[in-house]
Amino acid sequence: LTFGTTFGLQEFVILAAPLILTGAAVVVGQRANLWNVGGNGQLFAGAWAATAVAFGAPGVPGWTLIVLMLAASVVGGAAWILAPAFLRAYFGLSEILSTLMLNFVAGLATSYFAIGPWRDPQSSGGVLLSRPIVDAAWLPMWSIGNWNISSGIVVAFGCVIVLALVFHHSLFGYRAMIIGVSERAGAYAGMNVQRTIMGVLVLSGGVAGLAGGVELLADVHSFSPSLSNNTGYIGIGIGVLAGGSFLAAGVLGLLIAAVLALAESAQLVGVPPDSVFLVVGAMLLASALGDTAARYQIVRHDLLLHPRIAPEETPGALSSGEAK
Amino acid sequence: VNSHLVEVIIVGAIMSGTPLLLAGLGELLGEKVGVLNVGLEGIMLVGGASGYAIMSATGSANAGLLGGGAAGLAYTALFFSTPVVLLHTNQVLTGFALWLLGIGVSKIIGSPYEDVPPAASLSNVHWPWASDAPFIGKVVFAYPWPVYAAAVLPLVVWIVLSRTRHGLSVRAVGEAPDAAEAVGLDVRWRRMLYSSLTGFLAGTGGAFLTVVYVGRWSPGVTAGAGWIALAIVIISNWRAGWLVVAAYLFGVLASLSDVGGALGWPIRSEFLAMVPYLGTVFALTLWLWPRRGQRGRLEAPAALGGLWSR
Repeated sequence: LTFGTTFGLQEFVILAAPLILTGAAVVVGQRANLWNVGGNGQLFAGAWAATAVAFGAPGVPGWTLIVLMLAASVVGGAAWILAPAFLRAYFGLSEILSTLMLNFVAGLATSYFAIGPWRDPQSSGGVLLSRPIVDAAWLPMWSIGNWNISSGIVVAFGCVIVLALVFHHSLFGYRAMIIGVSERAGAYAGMNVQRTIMGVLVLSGGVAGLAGGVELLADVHSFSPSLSNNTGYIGIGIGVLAGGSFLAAGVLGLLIAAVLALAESAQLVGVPPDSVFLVVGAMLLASALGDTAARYQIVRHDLLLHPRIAPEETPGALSSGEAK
Repeated sequence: VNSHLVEVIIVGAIMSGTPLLLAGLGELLGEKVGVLNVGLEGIMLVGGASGYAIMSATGSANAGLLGGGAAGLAYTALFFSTPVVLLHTNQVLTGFALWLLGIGVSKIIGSPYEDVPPAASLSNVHWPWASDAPFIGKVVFAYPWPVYAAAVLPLVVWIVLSRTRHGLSVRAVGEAPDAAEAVGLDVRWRRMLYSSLTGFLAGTGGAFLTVVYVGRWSPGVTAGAGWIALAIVIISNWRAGWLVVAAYLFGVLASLSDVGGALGWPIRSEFLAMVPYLGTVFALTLWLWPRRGQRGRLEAPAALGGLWSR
């Protein structure tokens, strides 16, 4: 139903890009054993910053504007995680709670901006929507045969590859890994633990912000409270399932986007649109179980060759086995 | 000060603090045996949706409340306590799974009842002569029964945990499971029981929110209440008494946007609604300030979050 149609494939690719990015944002944190669960808020902040650039710099030509807006979205996302990152690095405040709380703040701020200053005068009644950004700022669609592929997916995979290189081949990535295993070991080795934690979390927020920029430029084209579509929350599942691997986040992002696209089609036959949470939650539970199961080994007791309890074969000994 | 304003604030605080108190108390019980459940929000959503569905089906608000609790208990026992306690999965990971799964499960349970008006409601307990008293009658003796039950429950928990032999064994399991095992206590049974009780209380809290306080089910109706409950357990230093205080204080913050709307304050409700979330981060920072440099949670049960296997 989904992949058979060109529309389905276009939808799938458009959905995948922000999911991959929010998933990658969680993986960034996981590299240092930190939990950035505020992806949804950072996504909003990124989209907000990109929208602000679009409205604030109307005369800038096409590609410059796109680059500026994407850069603004990274800065917006990074700014949104700044306070939680600082509190975690210097006071040890749980980043899980602080980043999560800011999701709700961002959601509320978003509805204020969509109703208030940036409201689309043509949107009516209960629809909260900002004015659309200029056409020149839309990420282009590429035609391959008769398919139109959103270039947002290229931004997403480009970001994933850069992050993988940074975390596997740079001193910063190495520091993050060591501090993730043990902050004290990192400090003992002379690393600046606080600054590394700040760096990892701010980078994570920036990547989630970029997800908001891509969502805005490639898909929705106007700022609204429904912009995130829970992408930040689904991204947590993707990031955890990826288990510290950026490329896995990319693949899982595509997979979950397929589930989402299928759910959108299956809505017609009565499947709730948000059943993706069921899929992601079940996958997470399965991965938690698998994680544990991987530490065990199945041992087969061959009763004929290695009898565990054989009281009748040990005559003379006081057999406790007979009591059982 | 306008006495009407004070009344509205106190009533709002106690009504919106009650779900926080129930869920926080549930989390406290789980953490006392060393099981950290970060999926509180998911349990509250499942309890809230199930409670509303049961209330709609039976026409009884009491059945809805208890049904929400039972749903939370079953959901937690099956998808959290069993994997964590019996199969030794990572508590944080399983908690996140419980949360995200709960968002999906609650949407499916609740979808037929979305924005359907409530089939029943709870009337306030009428206390002889006290309910008619001028000020006290409006702020203390004017709630449905679950509010009083939730306010008394922490006292029961405190007595059981700190004044009984059973409570001592429960705390031992959370502080030093190996020692508890060595003296012959059944660590797994206590962990299963108390981490499942987390589900019952959080589920009841969610059902209170949808059935009694809001009177509606809509997806995400808890709006972070589960996470705030998690935070107040930390802020209250894992003490049931302080938990009551913290829950009602956060109730004040959580009800600000309703109160502001009711009294016509000249400030946008979006900004008032941000207060509980910013307040949580602020309160956690304040709590941590005198403890910085001590490497975290000194008052937390020592075995909190760790795996334990025989």
